[in-house]
Amino acid sequence: MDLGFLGKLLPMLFTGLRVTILIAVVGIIFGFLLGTLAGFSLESRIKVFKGIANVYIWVIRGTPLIVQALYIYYVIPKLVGIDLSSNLSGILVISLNSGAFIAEIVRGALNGIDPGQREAGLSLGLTPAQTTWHIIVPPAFRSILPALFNQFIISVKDTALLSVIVVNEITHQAQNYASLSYKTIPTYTTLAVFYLILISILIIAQKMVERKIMR
Amino acid sequence: MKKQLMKRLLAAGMSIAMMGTMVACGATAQTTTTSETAETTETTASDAETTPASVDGSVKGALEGVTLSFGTSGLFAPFSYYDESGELIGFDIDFCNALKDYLGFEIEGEMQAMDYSALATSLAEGKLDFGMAALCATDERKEVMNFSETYCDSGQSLAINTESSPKDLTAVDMLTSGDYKVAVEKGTASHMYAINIGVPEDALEVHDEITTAYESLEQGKVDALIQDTPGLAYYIKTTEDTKIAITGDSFNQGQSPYAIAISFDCTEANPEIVEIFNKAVEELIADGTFAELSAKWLE
Repeated sequence: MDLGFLGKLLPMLFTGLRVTILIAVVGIIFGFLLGTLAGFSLESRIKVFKGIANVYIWVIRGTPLIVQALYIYYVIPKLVGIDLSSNLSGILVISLNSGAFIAEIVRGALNGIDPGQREAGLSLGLTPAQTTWHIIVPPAFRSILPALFNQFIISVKDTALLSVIVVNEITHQAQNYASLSYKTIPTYTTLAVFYLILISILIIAQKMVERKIMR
Repeated sequence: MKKQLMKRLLAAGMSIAMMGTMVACGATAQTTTTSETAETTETTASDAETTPASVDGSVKGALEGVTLSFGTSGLFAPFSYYDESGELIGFDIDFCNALKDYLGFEIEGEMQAMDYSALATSLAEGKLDFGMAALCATDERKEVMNFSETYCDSGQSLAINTESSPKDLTAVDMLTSGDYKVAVEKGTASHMYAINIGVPEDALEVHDEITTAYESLEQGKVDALIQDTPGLAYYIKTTEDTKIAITGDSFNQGQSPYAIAISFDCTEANPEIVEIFNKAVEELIADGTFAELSAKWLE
């Protein structure tokens, strides 16, 4: 098989890789903040917070990512009057999306902490906030870490759907090349291998981080 | 540096491709707007894959008893699109039906609508027997599928948003400066044209569907859009309160030769099919069917 096409395709994929990583990393950071907030809200006794968090998770889980992307890129600017670039929209979509799933992860972790721990903290004279920060958060964080990394890997792959709002990520670059060269099968085979290598590197990193933190 | 090299390679590839299309245009049945270069260019190897003329007389009923699967885009008005009731209509749909009635073949199942990348891949891989969707007979495509003679030849136009686009943007050549953001539909002749004239990568927005490209221009997310003239004119005509307008003359004439695409697998099974389709197009032009359809859809 003639591999000459790789000379053109690979540089395009690496250009796309920069965009994919940028969106996935910034997206997961905001998603983590958002998810933590929503996760704590779900466990909160204040009904308004709980309600907002529930609606947010319901909307995000109830609509496909591709629809959210199109909506944020094309409809929100019309409603609000602020134009968002495609990369910014992409970051927003990934943040909102991963946030909803991280919220569930956070809630699960908080639920998993024995209520006795909180009681113990309170009985030592710590305030409820201090108890949460010093007693609940450290073990909860350790237990969500694997799931958090998993969500990051999902987000990296989710960016592929952002090609609908002309984000120049890896998949979009491959589609562009395929649509002009008609080397469809070689292009998508290369794309699959490219993702596989990328995700493999992330999985190795995940294992290394876990081993360090779990120790 | 790498980027520059790639761009140059891409540009070189595209110009070769464009030359190829010009060659193909020289041989078209349409004589309306063929460019000067096309007329002076000799037809060369690119026509070699067409089977030699072996069909005499009328081809009416030549494909009786044959069943063919058919694909189209469904997103490219006025050639192939859905009306309000969800029915697939357009010039290409009517033309396909006219060919079906004339040649006597059956369409396998239903007409299948898909976006351009999927359509091209399906034809290249033989998942479809033939396709019509304002498909341009480009050299790249000829490597993976057969084409009939051209049945319609459109140029491209530059469209702007009358409110948000810079007022000084009046000609397509100005896009090469990189100061204006331009939208195109992925894999179309307009996409190739933009790359060929050297629109910088950062200034080019490649959309999966023309519908999102139009929306981006309506909202001023891009400054301009390149698209086949008939499709663009149709959009402007049928869209209420559109801010989109065509600026300058139609360009790139002869670079969008619409033809019937026939998969290699289908040609293998029916060796004379390209020739039969060619004859049928010719005869449908001669008997006025084609003019009737043009009047209905393209004017």
